[in-house]
Amino acid sequence: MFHFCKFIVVIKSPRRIIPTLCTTLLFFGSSTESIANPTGKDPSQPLKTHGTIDGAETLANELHQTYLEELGVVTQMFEKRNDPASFSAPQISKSAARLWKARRDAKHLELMSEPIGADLTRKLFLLAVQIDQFGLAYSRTPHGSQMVNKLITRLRRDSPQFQKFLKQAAASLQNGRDPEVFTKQMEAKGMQMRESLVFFRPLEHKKYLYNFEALLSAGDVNQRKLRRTRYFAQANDRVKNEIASAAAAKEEIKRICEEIKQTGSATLDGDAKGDGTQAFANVCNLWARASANLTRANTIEWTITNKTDNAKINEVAGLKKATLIALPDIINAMGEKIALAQIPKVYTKLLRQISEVDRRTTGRNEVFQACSSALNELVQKNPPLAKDIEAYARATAEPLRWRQKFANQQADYLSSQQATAEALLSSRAPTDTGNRPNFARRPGRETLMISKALNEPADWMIDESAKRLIGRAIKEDRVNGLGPNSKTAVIPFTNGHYANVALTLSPEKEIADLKVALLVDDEHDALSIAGMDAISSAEMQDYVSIGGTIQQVHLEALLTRFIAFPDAAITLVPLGGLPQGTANLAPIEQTCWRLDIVPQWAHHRYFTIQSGNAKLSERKAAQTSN
Amino acid sequence: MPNTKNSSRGQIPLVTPKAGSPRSGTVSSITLVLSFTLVLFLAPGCSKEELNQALESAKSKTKSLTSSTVEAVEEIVPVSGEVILKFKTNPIKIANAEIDLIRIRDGRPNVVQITTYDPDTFIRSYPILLLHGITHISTATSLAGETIQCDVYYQERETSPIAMTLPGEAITVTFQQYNPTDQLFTASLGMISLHRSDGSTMQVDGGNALAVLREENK
Repeated sequence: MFHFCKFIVVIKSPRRIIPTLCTTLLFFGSSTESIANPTGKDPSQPLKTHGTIDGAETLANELHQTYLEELGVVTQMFEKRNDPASFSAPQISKSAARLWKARRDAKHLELMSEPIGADLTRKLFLLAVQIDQFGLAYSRTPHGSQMVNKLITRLRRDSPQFQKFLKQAAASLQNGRDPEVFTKQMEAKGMQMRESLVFFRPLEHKKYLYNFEALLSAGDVNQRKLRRTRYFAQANDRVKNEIASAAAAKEEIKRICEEIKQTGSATLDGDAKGDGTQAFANVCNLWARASANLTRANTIEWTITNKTDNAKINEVAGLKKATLIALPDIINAMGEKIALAQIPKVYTKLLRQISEVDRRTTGRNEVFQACSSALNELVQKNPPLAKDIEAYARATAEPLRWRQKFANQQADYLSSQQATAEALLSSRAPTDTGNRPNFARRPGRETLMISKALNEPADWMIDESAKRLIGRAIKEDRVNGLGPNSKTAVIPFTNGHYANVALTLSPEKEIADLKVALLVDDEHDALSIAGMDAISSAEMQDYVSIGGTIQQVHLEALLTRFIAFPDAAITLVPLGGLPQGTANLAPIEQTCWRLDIVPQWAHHRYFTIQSGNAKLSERKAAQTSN
Repeated sequence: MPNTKNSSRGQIPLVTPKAGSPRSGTVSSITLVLSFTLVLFLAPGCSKEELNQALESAKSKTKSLTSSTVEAVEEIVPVSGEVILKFKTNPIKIANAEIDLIRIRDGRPNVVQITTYDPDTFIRSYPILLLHGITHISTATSLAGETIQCDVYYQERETSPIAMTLPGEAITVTFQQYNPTDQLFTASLGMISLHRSDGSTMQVDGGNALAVLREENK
């Protein structure tokens, strides 16, 4: 024992330097905290944790750091693989022990349903395989051979003590003592054994380990059971909290509705009183917020059932139903108390809100359909307005019809050279594995542009997908702006991805033209839902589709995306729906790709708009005819 | 470019819109249905004599629509008239056209809308044309002598690209003459370059119109 310890101590200093140096060189500037998902620009970023289980994030950060350090060690040694005598035996010992422990911790993270756990399991296994090979290669060198002989002597000498430890461990296991203590002690011993056994052939391990692995495995089964129960309880608590928040929002919707009915105003967001239109907006916001609650609850449920079934679909449907009852009720209640002169203003305010919400639901015009009867009743109280609305609809129907057809034709023309997102992302192309660690490079084979499963280390996946996708032209459907003044729009999650769209196009001229055709100015809003939808979607930059260039690719885990899901991100999930995972694939393994797209053109329902560059190239190509 | 295409609307009885139809609310009690012939020539305008000839031609094809609705239904009066669009080289005739003056009365401008098809049906006989402009004129009869900027929408065939005015551009429509007896208008059109949905352009070298109004009069 003394000799072994001495051996480790003697070579302690240099082995500290190497990984530190590697880390500094390879990962300078990277934070130890998981602040972002891996991107094409920075593939080495770890997958984010969703943190449903306490302690997951800290453990993930520690393990990621270990991975980075050991990756540095392995890549350096791999460079010298033809000269095993140059390997540092203490480094091999240390790495073997750390990796053995880290792989166990990664499994623990998996038990916490953290996708980074599965990713680290994969990555650490690949490193462990390399370290084992380095250990064996070193043992065959003259120095290594001498060292192995010394290790054999020491292991034999320490054997009685080790067997005594195993007996105590077995007793502890049988007595059902604290499994945490058992595991801690077993892991400490396991690491110690790995430091030596990494230089032995796997078949020889049993000779020195006795029943260590069987005991550890039995302890793991017990501890896993306990942890699973604890974690499921934590996850269930989170689900319950989210469901309770959604239920509270539903009750709040009912209260607002009732208050409006009784007094004509309602208390909204704290103590502030709001009128009917403000209450209407508040109910729409509550729908969105509660939908975020249900999205999170539904996704956490995936971690419990290990399936991506949408268990909360009934709650989502119930919330939608409650909202679609409340909204017309509010309009009806307003109609009872409203002054005739206020009706036109209120009517157009409601139309705007309805049109905006309708574009963010799973259905089509569902909100308007739910509210149309109530709106009609409101309008009929003011006969001149009713006449104006009818005249307005007739005055604007034809330009809308023509413009829609024109825009559709233009979009067909503009998109003829661009692959749809579905076609592009499901196509195959050769991979370039050049940026993988030196021990993992191999000739590129054809793979899907994006994989629906985290089936290789995340940094390799993002690097290879990003290289093939960045700069590619893509067409995406259904673009929703994040707000009237936002410079970003999103494409909701579908087919394993979502997208952020930089709103770099300038539709001011088109909007101004549309307003003229639709008789809209500062004092006059659109009076039909079609007209209002046209204007509000143009102002929000909600587009039917866009064609553009992929600027950046991010790899996220599906679970994390929709558990660590801010309320404001609900635009990613149309109201009344839930994100759809891939059936027959474990939730923890599922990806959620994010594309950052800079549009070259956009298809609004009533116009198209192109970037300066796109117009220029089109002008060159177009043939002028009479 | 194709030449004259007779509109299927010639077979459609002209009746007062049914109550509850989209038009009935705003097309008021006095609904004037006038046949409207729009003639576009190479030159930006044509002489009064030419206009009168065209007017007579249209009148000869257009039965009086001022008789009662019952008579109109019984006689199945074909709406005739024609539109001649002439682009650079070939003139194109389009049968039938209507013009609506739609008043909204809440302080915003009114709409002048000229169609060569019936917006209330899905039947289309190509080419089809829509001129859509805004004005503060509130009665159809006052349109004579007025110039209105209109958006142009044109489609030659069902499968051909639609051509329309670019944002901020418009064709100048000058209403020249209104004959209250025949309820026919004449108008001239300015020159305009239209933008096709396939990215190409289409030059209209102006023209004239012989017009019949469906007027909101209340």
